Amino acid sequence: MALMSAIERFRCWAQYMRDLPGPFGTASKADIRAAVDAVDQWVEDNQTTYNLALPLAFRNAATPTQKALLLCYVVMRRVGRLRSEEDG
Amino acid sequence: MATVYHQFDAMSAQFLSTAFPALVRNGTNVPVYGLAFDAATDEAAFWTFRAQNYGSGNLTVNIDWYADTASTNDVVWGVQLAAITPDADTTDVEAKTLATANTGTDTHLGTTGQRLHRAVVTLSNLDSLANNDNVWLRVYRDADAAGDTMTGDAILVLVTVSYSDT
Repeated sequence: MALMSAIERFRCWAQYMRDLPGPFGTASKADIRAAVDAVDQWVEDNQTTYNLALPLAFRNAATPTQKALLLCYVVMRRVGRLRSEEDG
Repeated sequence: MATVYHQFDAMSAQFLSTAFPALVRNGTNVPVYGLAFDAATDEAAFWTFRAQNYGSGNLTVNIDWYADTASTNDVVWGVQLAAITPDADTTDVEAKTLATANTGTDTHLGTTGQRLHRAVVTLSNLDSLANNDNVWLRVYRDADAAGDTMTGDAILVLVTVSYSDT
């Protein structure tokens, strides 16, 4: 996975604001855009650490996309945004 | 000397086929119809009217709006018009272009997120407006302007255009 391009970051920022419109307190649109950039960079800088945190069997078998989506699923579940069939 | 007023609500807005605000109906005790302008992408709404008794001078455009979720920062509104004199102008009405926009910045006054604000834009680019012209008014949120810092949608509920009859 590579860093997002400027247009990809813009679209990520735009859709984030549509899906999660706030309120964000005193934060401005520019502040949210800076956060998108920072998260993208953080993901870039911590890929190795994340990969090493995965159990060896999964780490060796899963694709980068599968590993990335697993992180998304775990975080989404933690913040209450992911429902499973078992939730009824 | 008198002031002429034209009022336009969300329900009477017209749109192009792309980049238009969503029509929303909110309100618990009274229906609040509005046009929800995106925070990231410029969107525009149009109204048409006849400039009856237009005398001279700039147009004053009041934009009544409220924030969907925010309670701070600024919104930049843009307004522009196209004017045609029927039976005189030979311009193709379907190909008519708009005059340069005028913009105004309005700051969320805080305290209550969904309080009503009134932005004022002085429209000085008048496209040679004359009495009884047909006018197309375009109102947009200049979401990609550096000065537009407010998160979330800005919901427009009413536009008022006023001008002098002398």
